[in-house]
Amino acid sequence: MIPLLTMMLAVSAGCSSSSNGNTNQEGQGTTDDNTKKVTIELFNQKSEIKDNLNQIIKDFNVENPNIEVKQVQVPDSRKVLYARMASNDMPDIMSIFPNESDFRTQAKSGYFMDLTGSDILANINPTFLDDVKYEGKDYSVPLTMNAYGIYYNATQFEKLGLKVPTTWAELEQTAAAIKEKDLIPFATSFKAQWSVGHLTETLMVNGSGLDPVNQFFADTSAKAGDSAVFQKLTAQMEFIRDNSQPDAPGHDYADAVNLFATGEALMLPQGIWAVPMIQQAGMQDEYKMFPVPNDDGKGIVVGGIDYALAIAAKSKHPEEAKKFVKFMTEQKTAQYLADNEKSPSTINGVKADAPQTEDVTKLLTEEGRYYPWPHFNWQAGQDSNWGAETSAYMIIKDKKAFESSINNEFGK
Amino acid sequence: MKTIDKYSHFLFTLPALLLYSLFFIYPMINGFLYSLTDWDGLSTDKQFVGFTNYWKLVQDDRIVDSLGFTFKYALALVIATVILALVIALLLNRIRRFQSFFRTSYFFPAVLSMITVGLIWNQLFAHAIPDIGKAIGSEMLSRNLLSDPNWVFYGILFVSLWQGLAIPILLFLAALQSVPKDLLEAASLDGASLFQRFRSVVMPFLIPVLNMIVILTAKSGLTAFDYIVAMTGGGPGRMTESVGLLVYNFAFQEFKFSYASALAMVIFVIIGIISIVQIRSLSRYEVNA
Repeated sequence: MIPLLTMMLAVSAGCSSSSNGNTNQEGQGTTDDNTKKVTIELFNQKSEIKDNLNQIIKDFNVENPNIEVKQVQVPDSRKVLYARMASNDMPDIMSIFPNESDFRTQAKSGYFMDLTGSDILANINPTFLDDVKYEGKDYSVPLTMNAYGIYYNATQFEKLGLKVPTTWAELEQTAAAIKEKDLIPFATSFKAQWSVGHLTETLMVNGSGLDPVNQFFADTSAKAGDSAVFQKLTAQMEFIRDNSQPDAPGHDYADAVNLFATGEALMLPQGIWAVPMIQQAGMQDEYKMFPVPNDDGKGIVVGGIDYALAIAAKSKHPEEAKKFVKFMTEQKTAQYLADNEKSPSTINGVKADAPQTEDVTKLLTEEGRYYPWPHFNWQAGQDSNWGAETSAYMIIKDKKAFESSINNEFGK
Repeated sequence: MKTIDKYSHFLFTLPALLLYSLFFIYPMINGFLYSLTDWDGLSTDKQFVGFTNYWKLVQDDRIVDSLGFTFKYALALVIATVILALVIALLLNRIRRFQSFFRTSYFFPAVLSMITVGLIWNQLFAHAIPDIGKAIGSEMLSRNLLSDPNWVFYGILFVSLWQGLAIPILLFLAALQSVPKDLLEAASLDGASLFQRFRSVVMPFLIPVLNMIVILTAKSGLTAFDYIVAMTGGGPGRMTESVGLLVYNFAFQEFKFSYASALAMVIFVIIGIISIVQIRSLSRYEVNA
């Protein structure tokens, strides 16, 4: 295995200097009116919207018959895309995650087209654009948002006479009341490290505020053991753990969703991306979502850009690529995406019809209620390590080991 | 003509040599060169940093933990494989009826790829075993053992043995059948007990095979990767993060490409040394059948 890994590492690295080809299928066919038909590649990293994108491409082709957009979607897309970037084989258009630090590194390396001031961005709410600028410039086109909150079984809540908690103390009372009825308060999945990572980042920002959280991670002299931010987080994690199903350490994302959908657990801390999965799991009861409560009763929503596109700086067909991306930002297209994919849109005037999540997503545009994920400020890869360490604490319960691993990870 | 004779043996090996060089030697040299840079796998620029990555490796606690787990796992795997494979081979060798049925049953898991085996057992540990545990009222089996810090090691070991025992059993069986019957009869006539016959007559014929099994199993334990990813992803926490998985995580999760290359180089050297020591120490006991 090691020689194989060495080979994978070296081959994908070695390619960076050996290839200068662009494998875009450059459609050279000539149409009747003697204009060239051009093929551009759209590398999509979000499998959930594959069919919606194909429909959008069809609509685009009605207006632009000479531009063929070829959607490419592969397993393990992030690694494939990064290997292609390193080997100078970039798609014309690609979906990317512009909040993440790897995107910033790539933007710095000049992989993406600078779209600052372009009319492509004209329809986008400037608040969301500000979040993803790199050194004051726009290299990405954010289209939809994600957000985190707590799903609750509204039917059961009503039956049991429970009200939606707005403060942390109320959340504790709600959990206790659910337990009294021999039901499980929270469906969680400690085995899914990414899931624990998202939960704990939200708890931190909600419990202590984004600035103190950022300060804690940036200040190398602030040790986890002495930090109020960190201590509050561990206390809240313990509360969630003590009120989760007994099998939570061995449960994955799908197991937690199932537990919630079958009505065994009445709350599910998760992102808005879980809606299709909850539906698939056959949820019969009515369910809704509330923001993770905090002490002052004004729970905030933590989230980020979910779907965004970027254009390769060296695209052989920059004008055609821009035309398609511009089409994606048009209200009509964005509304179609919002209606079908249900994520909140960044495009002005577009509203997603998703009653289950609206109590959380409506806060995305409310002043002082939306904050980005803290890991957007971390180095590449630190978010997956954060997930591994927080998951370990939920399962192994060794606080000293948790503190020391966080100190090590963040150079404290 | 003479020149052709002189170089013909070389010409025959040339295709294999070229393929081996292209797919193993070249990437390895390239990997070594990358380990001397600070490349993250994302940006276009990289700086030559000498042996800095290697120096950092020595100070990294995660590597110490990962090596500790990997060595412990490889050792347990070798011991369990040798003992279980030998016992099963001895039993299969004595069975007179249903011999081919048993041999096929034991060999069956070997045809599955490790990632498939890992995914199947991940589901069994997550759902089937806890259901059985609940039905029989066993508290220990009622939870996912792969998420239990006390049991995860044995869970992975069990799955690896389930899949990996087939080839060692087959090799031991072949070696057992190469033991000359007349030698065993002579030992019996001289009054040697069953154990004495095994130790003094059978064992020397098993040593070459044992040698090979120990090396192959140790290598498989030291480079464990795919089924660990499928079953635990290195968790809970980092308890089962083998060095193979650590190299992968450094390169493709944390974007420390050059650092991952340096670690891969070090592991290559460690495994090389272990293999040489194993071959030398065990070959002393070999006999020529």
